[in-house]
Amino acid sequence: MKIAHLPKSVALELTYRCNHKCKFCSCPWDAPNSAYPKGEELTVCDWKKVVEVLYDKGVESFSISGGEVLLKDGFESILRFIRQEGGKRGLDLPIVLISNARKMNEDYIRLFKELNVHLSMSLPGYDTFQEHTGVDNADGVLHWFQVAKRLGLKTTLNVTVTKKNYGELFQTMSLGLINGADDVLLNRFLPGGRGLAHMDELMLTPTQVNGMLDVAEEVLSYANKQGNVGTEVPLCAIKDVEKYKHIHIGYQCAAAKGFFVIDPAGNIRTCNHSPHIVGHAFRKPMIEDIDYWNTFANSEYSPAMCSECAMIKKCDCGCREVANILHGSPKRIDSSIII
Amino acid sequence: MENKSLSKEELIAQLKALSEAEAPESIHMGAMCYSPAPPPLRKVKCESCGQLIEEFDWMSSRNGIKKQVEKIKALGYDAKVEHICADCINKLGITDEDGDAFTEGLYYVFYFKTKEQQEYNIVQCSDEDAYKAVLAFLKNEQSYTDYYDATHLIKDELDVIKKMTGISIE
Repeated sequence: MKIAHLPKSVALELTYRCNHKCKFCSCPWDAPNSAYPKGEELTVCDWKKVVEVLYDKGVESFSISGGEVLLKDGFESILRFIRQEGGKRGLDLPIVLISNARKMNEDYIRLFKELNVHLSMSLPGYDTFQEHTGVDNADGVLHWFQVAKRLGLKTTLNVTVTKKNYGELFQTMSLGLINGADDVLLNRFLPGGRGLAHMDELMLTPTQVNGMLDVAEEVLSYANKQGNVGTEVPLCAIKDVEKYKHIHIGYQCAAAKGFFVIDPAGNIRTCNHSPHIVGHAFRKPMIEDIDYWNTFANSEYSPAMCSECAMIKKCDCGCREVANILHGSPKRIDSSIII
Repeated sequence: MENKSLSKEELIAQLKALSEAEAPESIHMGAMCYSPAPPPLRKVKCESCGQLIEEFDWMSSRNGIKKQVEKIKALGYDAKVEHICADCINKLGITDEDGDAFTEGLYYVFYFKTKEQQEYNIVQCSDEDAYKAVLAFLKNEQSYTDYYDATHLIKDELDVIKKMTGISIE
């Protein structure tokens, strides 16, 4: 059986280390009783080899995360290498760097500006920031949005929306934008990673998911900005799809089609949420679990209950990896959104 | 900025001030959790009718397809590939794998005929490796190397070659 070519975008998880303890964190290695094989982290030199291999395979854009990427020694060198190798190939797409901003400084922001990095910073609530992350740093995040704005660096406000911060979403989004964020990425809380231990306290009800979209539309329309919901929402769960003009909602999963993920040890997964390893960056072939990869690459995962739905070609029925995590197969129901 | 002290009315006032100060930016992406990679959504012209189509240009394989077809043509075969919209592909009578009409997006359509064939064999195919298999077959090679550097024997690819060229091999 053959596999589709690699997607154009990759997310490199440079390190397992993190200086937050977010309740919603979906990193698979932090799941309760996780069996995820935390291997030895790749060195900077290894990552450069990975970057070369990926460019040679047609990958064009890179996102960088962790853990917390700023804790990876030498991450600056990896960023420079991505830019340098891209330049050789005529590619200058922004490198997306996802950070909690706790270790941010002005030198980093100047470096990001120099290297055409798009900075995405996480603000999972303002009043509830510490409750979500274990750290009191909401004002710190907002400060770095201001600095980035002043230095001309493009930024995304990244909000994981949970039952705990749902009530302050208007304030959270507004503060992010007012302090300088250029756009907003909302992710409804998805069960996975450490979040599996906090599902009851974090998971939105279907009514709250609709409320999240309404609030986002309201805030973005006031500011005349655009935003995205990055975690799939089934079309049938949305009361009125047509009314959202400023918030773009994802209905179809991009895993193994639009992007894929390489973990700190070089293991390949279809998405950041997935605990399922399908291959390794240094092996040939890179993708070994072809069945699992193709399930996502070819969208062969519609739940049986959705098979007769008229929207089946436009909707992936929620997050397919959540279905796998909660029910053992990506072809099951995403019960985090469908009752 | 004193973030905590702002009322909802004050937040709205400041948001509205933003809208006056800055032009909106539209950034689209598929659902991809926390990784807002650069927008894969691009406007591409249908090579048949000229209509501009917005499509998620997901995969990295596509540029190579035209190169493979150029190599097939260089062997003397009448071959071409077009990147066309759903309307145009439906007019050709081609359906998707489920037998349904195409509804949106752009597709690669491969036209091929030998000197003996009266009409083109026309097939929708976006898999560069299928074109590589055809090229290797037409060059009388025993195998080809795919995207992942794996080698495939042509004798194992005869179904693909028949679909792509209309040539049956016993």
